[in-house]
Amino acid sequence: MENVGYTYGEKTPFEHRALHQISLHIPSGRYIGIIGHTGSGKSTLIQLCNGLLQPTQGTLQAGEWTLPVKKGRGLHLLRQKVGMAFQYPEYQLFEETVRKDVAYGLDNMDFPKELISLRVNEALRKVGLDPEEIGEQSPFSLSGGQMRRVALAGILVLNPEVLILDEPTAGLDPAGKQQILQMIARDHREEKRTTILVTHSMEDAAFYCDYLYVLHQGSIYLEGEPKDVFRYPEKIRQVGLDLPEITRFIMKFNEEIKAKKQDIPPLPLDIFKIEQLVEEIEKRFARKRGGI
Amino acid sequence: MIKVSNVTFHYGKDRPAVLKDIDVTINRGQYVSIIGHNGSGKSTLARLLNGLLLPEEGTVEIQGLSTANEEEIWKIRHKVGMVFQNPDNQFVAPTVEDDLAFGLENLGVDPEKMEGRIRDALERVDMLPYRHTEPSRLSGGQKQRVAIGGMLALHPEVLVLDEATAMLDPKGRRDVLDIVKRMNEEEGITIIQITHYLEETLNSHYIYVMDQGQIVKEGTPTQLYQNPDLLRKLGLDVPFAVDLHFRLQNKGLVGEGFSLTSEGVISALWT
Repeated sequence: MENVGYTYGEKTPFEHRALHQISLHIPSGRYIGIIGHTGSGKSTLIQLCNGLLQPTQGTLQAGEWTLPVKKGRGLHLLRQKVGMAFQYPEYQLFEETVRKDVAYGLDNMDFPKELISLRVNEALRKVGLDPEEIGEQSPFSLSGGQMRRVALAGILVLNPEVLILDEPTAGLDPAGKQQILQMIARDHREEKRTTILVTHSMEDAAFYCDYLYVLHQGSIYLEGEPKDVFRYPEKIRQVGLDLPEITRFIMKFNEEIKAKKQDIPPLPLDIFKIEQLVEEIEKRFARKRGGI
Repeated sequence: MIKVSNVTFHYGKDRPAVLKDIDVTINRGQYVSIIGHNGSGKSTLARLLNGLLLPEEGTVEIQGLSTANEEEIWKIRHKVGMVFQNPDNQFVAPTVEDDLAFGLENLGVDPEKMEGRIRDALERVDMLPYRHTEPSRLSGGQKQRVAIGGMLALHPEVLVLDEATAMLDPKGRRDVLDIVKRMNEEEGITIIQITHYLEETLNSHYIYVMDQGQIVKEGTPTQLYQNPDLLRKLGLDVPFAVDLHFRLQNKGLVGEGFSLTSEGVISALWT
């Protein structure tokens, strides 16, 4: 994206500028996190990525497409390459059976029938569902978490080059949430698929993503690897966000060392796994004890 | 006092029971959390508390009024306000102020008194400056605060929050929780909060854990968090500090006991 801006209802009394001067470059194969409070422009930004919205200022390059283009010029092809899971994607399920719902996109692309069935099975397995067991069930007979996974299978079945997820775990309980996030992480790793995650959870952003954009009032406010973005608590809090809990702990721990004037090396800020944190604390306290 | 006695509930006859033989008593002025994974029955329980759903067996009583009695159910709805998960589904009017007025009109409140009650309710949720704003222009957290304000204008004795923070960003969540805590501490409103987020239960006096339509565990936060493995088994998250303390304990780096906060873990490390 180069100097991309987006204005809703341009030249009307309801004109509202949602994005200003966004310049960013997302290389293939990255796992990107987009964070920002409600209304910061996250949803607008991702809708630009697959041409659902077109920039009203600046240009956007996605693969071989350059936006804006005149309406209809092959944008449906861009949307096949950039799969988008909106919030609560299960609201969009509609077919009689799980299998038919997942196959819907391929059916519309005139894909050979035999291949469709194989791809559908593969996609269902990928999201952790057994095609034999639930393939012929109505999607509406499933639990909320299973329905969400069926909806995601319907996107993965098209094998998009880019997968965009707008709060894919909203409303799920912790176990369901972890299943979905781990599934997405595995897919990202195995397929080297470019993945863009919009989330309110700083913990998930830090844990799963390798690069973050923080949006505020329609502009990029901070960007970088999680450890760099979460280095500045004040800046993060100013825009209504917070640090991951583990980072808050590390900062408090490091302050404590300073206050006690102890000869313990501070904990690095790039730890986002609790196992690793425990290991690092163990090293420091073993040393401390050894020294006494 | 809220008294749920031997309540059983099914959605449809052939479906499995969503609630099985639930017995709960919540005293006035308590701050209670109900946690459990999706499908554990916690939202159904919430909907029974103000008669949105009626039990098939057993009774639900709010200060002696029973939801089974049609004449009493309206009185109960005045006493028990509910705030739901999706902030966008809770507005009917073009401005924040009108939305609150709508609720009061339905109650037949004297129009002369309305102005004062609306102002007071919006002030209590820190939303007075937005009284003329269109609800759709508010952030998720602001919408939920208005929804709570709408309930407060009706002078409820009990506030039930059904995953009211699930769709909010971190600041929105903090703001809503701060207000809920204040309503409980300063005004003595009974709070029943339904949530997946265990960190959000740290303010509560008492927690019920639900699984498969039953209350499988209950206690104060301190009592419950002493058994993180059980909470995990039930598909729930263990608060970060509790988890970390236990892991450090296993390595012999901190002593017995446990911590609910990062500060607690740090002081345990240096003891």
